[in-house]
Amino acid sequence: MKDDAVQVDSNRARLAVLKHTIGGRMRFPRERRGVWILNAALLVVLAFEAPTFYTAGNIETVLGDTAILGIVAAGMTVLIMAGAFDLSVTSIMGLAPIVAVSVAGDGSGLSLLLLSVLTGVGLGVVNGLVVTRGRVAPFVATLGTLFVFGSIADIISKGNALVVTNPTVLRLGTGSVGQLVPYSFLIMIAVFGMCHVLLRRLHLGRWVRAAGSNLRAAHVGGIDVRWVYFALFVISGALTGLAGILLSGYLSSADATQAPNYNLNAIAVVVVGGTSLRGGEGTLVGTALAAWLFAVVGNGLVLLGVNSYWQYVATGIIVILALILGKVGFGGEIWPRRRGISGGAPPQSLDVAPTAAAAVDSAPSDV
Amino acid sequence: MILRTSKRVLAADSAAAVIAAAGVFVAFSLINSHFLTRLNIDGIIVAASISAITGLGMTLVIAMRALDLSVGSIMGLAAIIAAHLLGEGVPLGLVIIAGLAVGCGLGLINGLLITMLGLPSFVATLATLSMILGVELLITQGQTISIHNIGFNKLVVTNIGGFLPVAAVVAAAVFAVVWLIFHRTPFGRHVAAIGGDERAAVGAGINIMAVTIGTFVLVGFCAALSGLMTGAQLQNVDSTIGANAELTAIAVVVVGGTSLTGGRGNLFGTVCAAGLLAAIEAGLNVVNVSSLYDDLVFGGILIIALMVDGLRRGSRRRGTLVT
Amino acid sequence: MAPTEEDPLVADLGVKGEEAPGAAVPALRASRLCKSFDGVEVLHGVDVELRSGEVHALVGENGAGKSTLINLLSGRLRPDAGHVELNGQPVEFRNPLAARRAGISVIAQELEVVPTLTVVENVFLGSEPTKFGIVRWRDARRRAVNTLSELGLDADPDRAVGAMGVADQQLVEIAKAVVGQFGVLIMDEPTSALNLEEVERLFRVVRRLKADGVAVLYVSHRLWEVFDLADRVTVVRDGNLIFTKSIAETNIGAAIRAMLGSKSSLVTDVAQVGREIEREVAAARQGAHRNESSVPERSEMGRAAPGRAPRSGDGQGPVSDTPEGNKRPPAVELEGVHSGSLLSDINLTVHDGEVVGLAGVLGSGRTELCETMCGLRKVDTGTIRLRGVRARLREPKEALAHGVFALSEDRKSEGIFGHLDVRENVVLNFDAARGERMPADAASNPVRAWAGKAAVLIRKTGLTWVRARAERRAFDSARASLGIRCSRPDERITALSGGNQQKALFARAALTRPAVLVLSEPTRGVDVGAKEEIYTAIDGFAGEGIAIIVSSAEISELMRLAARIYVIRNGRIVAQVAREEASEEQILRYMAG
Repeated sequence: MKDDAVQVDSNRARLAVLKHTIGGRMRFPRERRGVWILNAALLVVLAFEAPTFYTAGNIETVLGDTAILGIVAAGMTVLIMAGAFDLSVTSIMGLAPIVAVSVAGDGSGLSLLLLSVLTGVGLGVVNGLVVTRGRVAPFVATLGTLFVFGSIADIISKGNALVVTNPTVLRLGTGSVGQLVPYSFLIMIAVFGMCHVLLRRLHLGRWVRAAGSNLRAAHVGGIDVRWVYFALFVISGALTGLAGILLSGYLSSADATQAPNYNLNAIAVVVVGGTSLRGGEGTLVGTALAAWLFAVVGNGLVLLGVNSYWQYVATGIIVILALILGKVGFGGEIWPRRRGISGGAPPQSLDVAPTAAAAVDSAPSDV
Repeated sequence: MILRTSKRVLAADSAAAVIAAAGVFVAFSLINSHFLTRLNIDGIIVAASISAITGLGMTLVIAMRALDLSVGSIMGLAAIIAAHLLGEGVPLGLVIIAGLAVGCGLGLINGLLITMLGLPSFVATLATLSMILGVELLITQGQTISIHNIGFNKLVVTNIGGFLPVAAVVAAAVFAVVWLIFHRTPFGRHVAAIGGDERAAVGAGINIMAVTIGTFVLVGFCAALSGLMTGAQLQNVDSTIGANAELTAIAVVVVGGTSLTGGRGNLFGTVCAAGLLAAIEAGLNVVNVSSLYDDLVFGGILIIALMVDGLRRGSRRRGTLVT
Repeated sequence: MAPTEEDPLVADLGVKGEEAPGAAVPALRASRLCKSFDGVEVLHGVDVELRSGEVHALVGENGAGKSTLINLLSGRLRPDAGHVELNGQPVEFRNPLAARRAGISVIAQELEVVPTLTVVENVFLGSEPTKFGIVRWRDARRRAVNTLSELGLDADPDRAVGAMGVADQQLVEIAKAVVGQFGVLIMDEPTSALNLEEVERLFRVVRRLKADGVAVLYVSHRLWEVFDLADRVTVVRDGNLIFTKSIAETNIGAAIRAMLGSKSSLVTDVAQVGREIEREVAAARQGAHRNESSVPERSEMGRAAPGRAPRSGDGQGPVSDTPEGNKRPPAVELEGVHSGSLLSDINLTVHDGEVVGLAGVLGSGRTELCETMCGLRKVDTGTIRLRGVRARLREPKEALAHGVFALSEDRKSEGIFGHLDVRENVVLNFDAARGERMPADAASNPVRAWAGKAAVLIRKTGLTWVRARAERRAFDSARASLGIRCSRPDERITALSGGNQQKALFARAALTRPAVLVLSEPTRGVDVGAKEEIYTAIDGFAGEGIAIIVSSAEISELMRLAARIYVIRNGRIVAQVAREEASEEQILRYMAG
């Protein structure tokens, strides 16, 4: 083992050891470059144009904004790496806290939290069953459950917002450590840590990446792909339930539509962070940075006194910029028209169906 | 040819949608005779027409194995611009042209982002969804714009010959044109080829860029048309028009039998699915079920339709591929 | 070489004909083509000349530069140096479309047909006949049907191509070239997925095209086909042109030597291999012809091997290589297995440490039989017994749990994970397989049994720690023993050559410590050197007591590896033959009937 390293330049050997001991590999691959650059650029601009950004109170707000989207995006990252999607998170973000508050609105904070998470788990189970037993592609399945869960949330709450009064939940949603680091952010860090462990240190994580890389090979190779997807939907549901109750704590209310477009936002965060929609590989660090980026944009716009509606425009521009930056240079092609001439195989730029969906329909029919 | 078409329709994956639509109609008619009133049926037809038009454009996009998530925003922006211009006194004809041009232009932008910058369609249209929504909000500043032009409204809801709303005629025309494009022009076949096997399409010398841009322009046109019709129908326009319309459009296409993996498109199925959705909404309304249940039913149908489809395909397929 | 039948249809297919062979101007001439990728030169000044009405074969090992050359000629790549002349005029193709318009058509190994479109839509893809922008489908349909029937295929033009077999799809693609008017046809490994009949049909088509004046470049590693069909042959090795000769001036042995260069010492007797290949060809063609008048031959089969009547396998046959001490139940036993309409009444036995071969043409059920043994195909009736215990293998993971490891024939889509590095690909099942085995004293000690079951369950959820150090050790030892060449363990597996990828999969197999190995085409897409290493590895596995089933289209491979060979035809086992007592012709005859 060590003999290999001996042959190598001592610096490289040390670097290799460092890489292995740190565990997760902190690298700066092309895909993540976008978030780093944009973050850096924004922070510099804000330093000049809106120095109030750098006050403790403001940072606290930004961290809080990052946290909730980040928690959902963490689960989404893992799912996308396996080649699936969860479009129903928007509805789960509403339904889980609504159920929790409806059932245990006067109860303890712990019971509210648990109920929300468990509801998320239950909804994730439904997603998982529809996909694995119902054999429906994840994209479409979660599209359907998006509608169904959203409707149930509306029905239970009768279209109203339920009030959250439990002090623990309120504190979790709004409070912070030292007036700087919100509890929700700490929870987000923990979530990301767990996801990292899952992906890099547990067998399930390897199965996730294998399934995302080549679903058929994973199945043939003896991986229980059905279980993998099921587990991931449950995890995503749990995390979304958690995020939902935190959001409700922040808003002091549980409303069916309290997280509009979260599904697409979360996917945007994942993609901007550098994870490929095709699956097989991904970066949690990138997702976290991207969640932070979006929060900074939203906050920065307010500080700069810009009409908050510009935020939507800014979001779109950021997504595009981040992806362009991730492609440029070192072999990346911005103009993919030159197919074949350069000798490299270009990615299918139009391909959007996640591999799981493809796996359903593209198997040759028996003739 | 009619025989061939009908055989294809029934054998196609959209049999579920067609049957479901018919079933729903029958069911609701039996439950409550009010379902079959002129007013109600007209309402269904108008709603179905509007969502069918966007759905038809989206069908081509999905046949090309891509997605356009910005259709909802395009709908909204077209409606808002139209309302704005009408308020300024611009003649109706010009307003319509302007609205449609906006749709085409936005579609062009989508196409360019995807082809020139090589962005996956999901991401590119996600970005434009957001940007266009921002523009909508900046124009309206969150307010509602009222349209006072009666002609505009009449354009959509008048009945021709006493029984067919104009909207349906428009939808039928769009269906005819899109069908012709998809099945009878090289462009349309190239759309399907790209979705079926992009490598083969490249090898056959198809201009991927041109076809992509063309498709997104087309769906932008359809979305704008739907938006204009919605604005005309509602007479009050704000930024919530078209909200989540993209997801509904995708659902309609999928229930209609078009597969997300691309390569083929079931236009007739899309129309039927649009009708199904409208019928459900109206039907639930008529039997006094809260509109909050609409999504539940539609989502349920979506899932069931696809499960049925999956089972049908599964029994044909050998091997035990999992999901 | 004249067409083999009295075709009334040496008829004009509408192809742009050129002058007879030997005319002054070659259809396509490439001079001193050079190409580099990432600074590595893969083609060093190669010349190729294609003449009208002639089939020119291009042979070489994997990685010799054949694909690059094809891509250069067809406009997919641009040469770094050298030039190309089409009919005497220098040309430069900016993209494949330009090449196609100039009359160069390529039938790639991975077919370029759109499965969701119909036959007629595929045939006219990119060149649809239109009037005022609307496609004239009726016209197109007629032409497509005509062209296809002239090529030997009667197809419904409105049928989706995806529903057709590979051989038919290939003809659709050829039809696409034909209607597009072409002068040069490049075919890359066209027969890799075809059975004997389909190959013959393809050859008829190629000969017809040749007679029409098309210049054909036929790229294949199947030398017997090359020497059957081609007029001239070019050998490349390591990006260099070794020689270009007319077929009459050379032979298979010389070609093999030229392909392998210094490595030819690995193949013990090149001449012998060449002779074997020629015999194989002759026997196969005889068999194919016999198909047409099969009746008198069937009775001969019964007398085929003196003293050894073909049996449908009984597990107790006097096979000389059965390990002594037959007291242990066989590692794998299939009894009366039926599966769908594809497999009927299969009886098969494999003992520990035995290598058993499975021979059969494409479509005979060989692949399906392997699938039943590894959990990919449902068994309708009959039993599968592993070590005497009946097993229901409903999914691959169940097969793995029973110690059956399968290597698929298509490693790209069913074997390797492109996003994972080499080590992760290799250690994939390392822990999982271990997890299914009960602790030794499970039967006697209920607590241990319960704990064992709990541990198994937990392992199944995957929420268990990856043992990085153990994996690294295992990987290193596997890599060394199999000779996998990769620069770093965390290199992307896609950077490895075909042979090394296959070895990586063998390493994966080894690490699961299987009881049974089911190998489908274990040396497909593997160069000769790695092939030998893999054979050695298989011998090694057998030596460790693993029961091995090898399914292959190459009889010589089966003869090299297996002590016993089952022949499957039309879903039934029609013969079981011991290596010493059988010959390749015999096996081929059983295969073809």
